[in-house]
Amino acid sequence: MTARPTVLLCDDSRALRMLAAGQLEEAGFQVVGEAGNGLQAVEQYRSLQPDLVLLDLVMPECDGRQALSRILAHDPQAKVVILSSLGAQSDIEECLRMGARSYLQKPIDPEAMERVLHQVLA
Amino acid sequence: MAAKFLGQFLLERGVITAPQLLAAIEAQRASNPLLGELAVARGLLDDAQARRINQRQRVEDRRFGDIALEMGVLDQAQLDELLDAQKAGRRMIGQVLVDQGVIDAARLEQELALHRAGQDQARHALDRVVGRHPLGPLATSVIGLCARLFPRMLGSQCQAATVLTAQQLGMWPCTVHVRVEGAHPFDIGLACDLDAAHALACALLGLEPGACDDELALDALGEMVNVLMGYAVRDVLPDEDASYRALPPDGSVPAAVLAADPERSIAVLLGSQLGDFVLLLGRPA
Repeated sequence: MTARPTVLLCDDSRALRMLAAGQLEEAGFQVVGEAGNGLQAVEQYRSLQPDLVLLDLVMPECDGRQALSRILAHDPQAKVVILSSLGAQSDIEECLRMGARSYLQKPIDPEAMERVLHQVLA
Repeated sequence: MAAKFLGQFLLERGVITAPQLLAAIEAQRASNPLLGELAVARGLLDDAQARRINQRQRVEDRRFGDIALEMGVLDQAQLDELLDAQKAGRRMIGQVLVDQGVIDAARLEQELALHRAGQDQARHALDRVVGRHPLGPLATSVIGLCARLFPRMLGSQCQAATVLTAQQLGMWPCTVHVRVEGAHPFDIGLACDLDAAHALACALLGLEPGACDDELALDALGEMVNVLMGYAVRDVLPDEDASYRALPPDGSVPAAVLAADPERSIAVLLGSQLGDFVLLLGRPA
């Protein structure tokens, strides 16, 4: 049996993490870690080395942009998908230029998420 | 008079007691399975397929059956069969109360007539107030959205009851709003008491009652507001302006502050089986 792709889920909303974790598991991914702020996201990435990171942009401690930068500094091949709120286009563009692989808009559409994550993994 | 569900109406009139109402709601719920539950019970869908369709309903304002057809997991004949079965088994709350011997059929008829008259009066009053408010079209759309999304996402009916004034908003300790910036900026929020926030979180996240702390309850309220905001921007606002930007959910501003200016804001009481919620809409100054 093929191992399920592993995902680190980073968002300061526990409710969103719970909803997204269910959707990810449903779509065949394995949520190996969750982070509620940018610092935790970086630490967890280093220790878990997941196949994918779903990273919210607006988080306390160290925001998604800073976390993205630190994750990519640690692993330039990291596959990070940004979770953004409606209309955060300039932030998204900046993150894509920094090396994020793609983005998803909240509330998360499970079909779009599955499609995007598989594209990023391919 | 505010619009209210029949059960609440009967309770307030002293026709039934709270334990009788709860027993009737439970029995009614058992007789009114959601389409997904029915499909799973009949072996037409598995749990995962039904959950997946429910998840899509969070971001698509579409019926369960339409999504199931599109996904190819049900065919039209199966869907028709499920809808017929759902309709055949459905019992209204009044009928349940009669079946349980709480009230007799004649009394139910009298109460239904009174309830209908009250509902009509309340709906007209609400329509009048909302209709002449500067935020009327937005409010009407979002009220309709709540009426469709609450059953799909939370398994609860939702009915607009009345428009509240800022002075009536002091009793709602949990308030979360999202500000949308752009050509037509607006705030959208929900306010409720802590019990209703917990009930909403448990329904939204599929948790057992009591398995939710206060922080998670507020988080879930914020996610619900985010979903409403997403629909409102997509379906209600002028689409020639694509530059809307939503700020993160904010739980720091009391409902009375958000709805302080009656010309720039409106607060609508929504009744639901999870508790009462206040829909808040405003134009930032």
